Formats: sequence, C-alpha cells, structure tokens
Amino acid sequence: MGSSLRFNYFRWRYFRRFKLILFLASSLILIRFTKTSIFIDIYALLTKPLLPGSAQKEWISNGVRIEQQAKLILLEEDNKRLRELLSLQKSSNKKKITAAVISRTPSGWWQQIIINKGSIHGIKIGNSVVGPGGLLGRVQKVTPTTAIIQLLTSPNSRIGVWAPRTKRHGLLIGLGTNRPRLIFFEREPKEKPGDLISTSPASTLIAPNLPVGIIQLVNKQAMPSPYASVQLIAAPHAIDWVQIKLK
Amino acid sequence: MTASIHHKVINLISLFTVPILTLLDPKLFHLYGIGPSWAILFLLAWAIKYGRFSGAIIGLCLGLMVDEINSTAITQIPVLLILGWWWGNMGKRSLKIENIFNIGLMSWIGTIILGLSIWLQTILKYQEQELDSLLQWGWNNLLSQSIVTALVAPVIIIWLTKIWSRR
Repeated sequence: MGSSLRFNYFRWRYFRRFKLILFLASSLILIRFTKTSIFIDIYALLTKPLLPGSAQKEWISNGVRIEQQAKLILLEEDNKRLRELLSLQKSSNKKKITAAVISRTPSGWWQQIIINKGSIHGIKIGNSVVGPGGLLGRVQKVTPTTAIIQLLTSPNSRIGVWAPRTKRHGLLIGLGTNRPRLIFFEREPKEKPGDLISTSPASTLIAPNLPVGIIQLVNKQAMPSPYASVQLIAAPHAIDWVQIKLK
Repeated sequence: MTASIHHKVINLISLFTVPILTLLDPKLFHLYGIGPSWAILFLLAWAIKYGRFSGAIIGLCLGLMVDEINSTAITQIPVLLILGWWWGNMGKRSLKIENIFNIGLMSWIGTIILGLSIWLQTILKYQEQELDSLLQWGWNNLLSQSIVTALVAPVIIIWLTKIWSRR
C-alpha cells in the first residue's frame, strides 16, 4: 500500500517539472482547434506603437492638401484668363483686407459684426465680407477705423445669388433666423436640397463666385413664389478674423 | 452747488458705458443668445433719480449713442425719449418705483415697447412683402430681451442709483 502511494507521488512530481511546457502545449492545441489566429492579434497589438500610423496619415493628408492648393492656384489662373476673355469683373486680382472682429451680435435685433478696419484702409459701403467658409455679409456703415457688417441672416439683408448646378438666379433674404430664405424667380424651381448656392459669376455688386450656403429645404407650394431655406456655410458666431474684398 | 454739478458730470460720464456694454455684449447676461437692453437699464435709473426733463434728454442722448453703433436706419430715439419722460414723471410723483418688483416691471414694459418699435420699423422699412417670415425673429427677440432685462434690472438699477447718490 505504502509503496503504491509513494509511486503515485513520484509520478505527480515528474509531471510537475513540465508544468509550464504542458500548459503552453495545451493552450496551443486549444488555439489550433478553435482556429483563432490570436498571434496576429497579439502581434498587431504589440507592434502598434512601432507602425507608421498617425504620422503616415498626416503625410498623406498633407500631400492631398498641397495637391488641392496647387489645383486651386491653377484653376484660379485659368479662371482669371477666361474672365479677361469674357471681359467680366476680375475676381482674383482684387485687393483683400484682413480685419479682426471687435464686436459681434449674431442674434437679436441687430445681426451684425464690427471690424477694426475702416475707410482709411479703403473699405467702402457695399464691400463683400468673407469668413472661413464663404460670404458673411456686406459692409453697411463705415467709420474711419471701423466698419459695421450686416450679416446675411439679418432681416434687412437681401442679395442676389446663383445656383451653380442649375445655373439660375435667386434672391437671398435674411429672416433674422439662422437660415435665410432663397426666393426663386421661376415658377417651378429645379433646385434640390443639398445644392450649393454662391454669388453670381457675373455679379458686379458683390464679389463673384463666393460660396454662400447649401439648400436645406425647398417649398414649391409656397403661394407668392416658391422658396428654399438655405444653411449658410460661414458661421458668424465663432469668427474672429474676416476678409474684406475691395472693389 | 458746484459739488453737485461736479457729481452730475461724473454721473453723465458713466452713461458712456452703455455703448461699450452694447458693443461688448457680455455672454454672462445672454438669454437665448440675446443680451439685455443696456440703454433701458441706464435710462430707468437716471429717470428715477433726476426727474422727467432730465430723463427725456438722457433718453435722447442714449438713443443717439445706441443708433450710432447699429447698421440700419432704424432709430430707438423716440421710444427712449418718451420712456425717459414717463419714468421721470413717476419718480417725481414718488410712486415708489424704487422697489425691486416695480423696477423689474417697468424695465420689462420699457423693453417690450422698444422692441415693438424696432420690429415695426423693420417691417415697414425692409420686409413689406413677407410679414409672416419675421414673426419668429420678432417674438424671439422681444420675449428674450424683455425677460433678461427685467431680471437684470433690479440689481443694476439699485446699484447704479446707490453709486450716483453716494457722491
């Protein structure tokens, strides 16, 4: 009896020496049978910091940006040449002035922003004001060192705009709310939600070919004339710097 | 006598904070994106303290200052002038409008009248065709500005009249 006990004890100890190897083998077998490719996952996890992840993405996006800028420059050159051929108002060789916003009331009775450049810098009433994203409004009042800009959302703002896809004109009227109303001149408008609205390419009052907004909704059943709601691209709530396009 | 004139001059200079506050438009006092009407607050304080004639003149001055910093041809002068006269009259008859609830109510009514005049002028001058389209804008401005002005009024007006009388 005693000897058999002793034998068993020895046998257990014998296996205990290979405990780790046995554990490894059994787990490998388990992996093999469940067909989980855990090694690739672990490899991916371990080498994640070594891989060219975000940096490479940045390089690519940088490249894309430079390509787009180059394309834009080429197109602007082309546009300028074609405009000269058509003897239209030149958009690209106009002088631009950058100014800081010193006061802004984008909502309320007066929807306006005030900038720190005025008539001594060459700003005149009616100049177009551009923020990041597109047209913001027009200069309404000028003092020697400041200018008051009426935003497109203001209820007394009305400008002629152009739908590039359908090549038609419309009138953009501010309503005081975030979305101005676009009034069509045609009885049956072909514009759809998602269409871009820009200033007219042949415009003389406003700087031509500036993006203004995107159509959100078209009401074709409206009684006097059909209209659309336009979401503006430039947001006056968060703009600190604007550009004024001089005539 | 000279001392009191001197004090009045200093108090007058303090009215120049109205255009500065209107331009700054501090976000602390915003309700639904709209701040209080600072001209109404200062006018009410002045009219209570100095009577109807002075109140009307200061209403004119405040109207000129506030019109200067707005882009449109809409004017706030007539309403501010009339309100200055009215509130000055109340102060002179000692109708006890220096108590908190009356100050809040008076500034609320004043802002409503001012807002209605701006709304009416905008409709008459710019949007004759589409009256319905300006409803949302008008109601929103009218209600939020009057409520926020009435809420701020007791604090600011009592503080202002105390500062002015301390001198």
